[in-house]
Amino acid sequence: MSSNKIVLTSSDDESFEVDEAVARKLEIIPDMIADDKAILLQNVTGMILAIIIEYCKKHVDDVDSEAKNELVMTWDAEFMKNIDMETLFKLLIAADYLKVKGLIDLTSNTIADYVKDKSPKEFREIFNIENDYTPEEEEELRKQNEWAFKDLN
Amino acid sequence: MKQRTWPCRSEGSRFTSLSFLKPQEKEKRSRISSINRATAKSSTISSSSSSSSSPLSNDVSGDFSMLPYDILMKIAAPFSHPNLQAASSVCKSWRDALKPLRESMLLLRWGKKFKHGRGGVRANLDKALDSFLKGAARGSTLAMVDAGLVYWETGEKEKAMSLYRRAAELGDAVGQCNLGICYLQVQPSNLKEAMKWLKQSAENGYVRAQYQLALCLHQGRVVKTNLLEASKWYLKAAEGGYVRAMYNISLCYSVGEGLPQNRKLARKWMKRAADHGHCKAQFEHGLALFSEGAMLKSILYLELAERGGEAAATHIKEVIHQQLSATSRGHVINQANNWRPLPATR
Repeated sequence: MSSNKIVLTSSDDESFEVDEAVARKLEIIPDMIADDKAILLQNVTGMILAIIIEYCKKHVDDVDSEAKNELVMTWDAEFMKNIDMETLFKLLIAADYLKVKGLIDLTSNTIADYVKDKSPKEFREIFNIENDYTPEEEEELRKQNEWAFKDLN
Repeated sequence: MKQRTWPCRSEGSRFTSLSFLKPQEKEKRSRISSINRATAKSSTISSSSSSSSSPLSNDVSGDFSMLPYDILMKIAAPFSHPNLQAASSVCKSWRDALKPLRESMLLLRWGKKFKHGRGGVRANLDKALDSFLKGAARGSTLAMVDAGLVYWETGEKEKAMSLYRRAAELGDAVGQCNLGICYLQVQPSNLKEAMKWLKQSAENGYVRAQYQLALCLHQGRVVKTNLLEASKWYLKAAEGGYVRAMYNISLCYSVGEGLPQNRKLARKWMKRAADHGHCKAQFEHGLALFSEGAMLKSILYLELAERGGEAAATHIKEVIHQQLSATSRGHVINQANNWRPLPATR
């Protein structure tokens, strides 16, 4: 493939010039990439887009059928380690929106590892979510769970 | 000529803009990521469309209760039941998103009942598999792994590996380990894939994978022998409670394989393995005690080793026996009868 350059622009007007092959890892970008050399991504900020592009550059030569080799896996782990939880979430949402499959998997697995064994309160703290349960609804969920598993223990 | 799938914002604009429709009300939130909805409405996409609310901006950072359902499902796929309950209790939106996984858990429990014939249910492997598969279809990696196990045990290797792979890719450490082991055992084997998945699972903290990985690195049949790495993983697995790893790490310390020789640590780990029920370790430890003159302690371990099938223990035991009074002999038998191995992380 010729080394065509595509310009990706974020919602806050940061532009990134990348190889076409790298841009294609954002599977949301349709084939008309050939016609328009510049693409505006209204819903991704420059900060997040930069991270995504860094990932795509590293993984541009991935073959879907093969599992990642060890070096790349180590790189991925390091890559994730340097990102804080809030950014991780924005990254996941953006990766999902842009359809960057490998990154979606990597990010959601990383988040899953982090939130394993957390209590509901801790979940809420990490993600800044308000508890919208009434005490009755909470009780109902608890009861459902108990009832469903009552016979099985 | 190529069809445009995305309309340009205006004639002559050099940008192709991809905008985002935020669902109006919470109740209408679909179970798929928002972008799929946008795809369906491509003809009306425009950032100035009056029907949509303003495009999703970075302010969403505060609103993770509005995570797309499929993302939440993906994150929670490898959760245990308690984890899932905790996640479901965070807020109602998450509760709704995770409903299929809770159903998975139920099916998983039923599957286990059918598999082992528990709680008044007669063992039935077909029904077990059926339950596991239904659970897997609802997204839980735990169900995928159990379904894979049944397939593997009944000879359907490809189906097993396909399920393990699904679980592995969702981050399930057991799935990853099982997949790695499959790659070692199938014909023809795929050593590259095996090592990758075992390593991934080991890095995720799964003790069994840590031991398997160490074994591969130690034996040098799968990959080139790497004693340094092997001993590192044996130690991790041993610290994680894997009994065979305790035995192996003791040997490593004893001969200085992969790490510096250390008699004290070798003894410590051999005793640990022995206390967790490892027969060879019981023999070795019994021998060591014998050579130190701790007769009564020694004979207990030798008795246990013999009961576990270590024939070599018998001879030494006989030697010590002759030095003991009848009371002591009886005492030892009593001790051995009452002895229980320490709980381990298999």
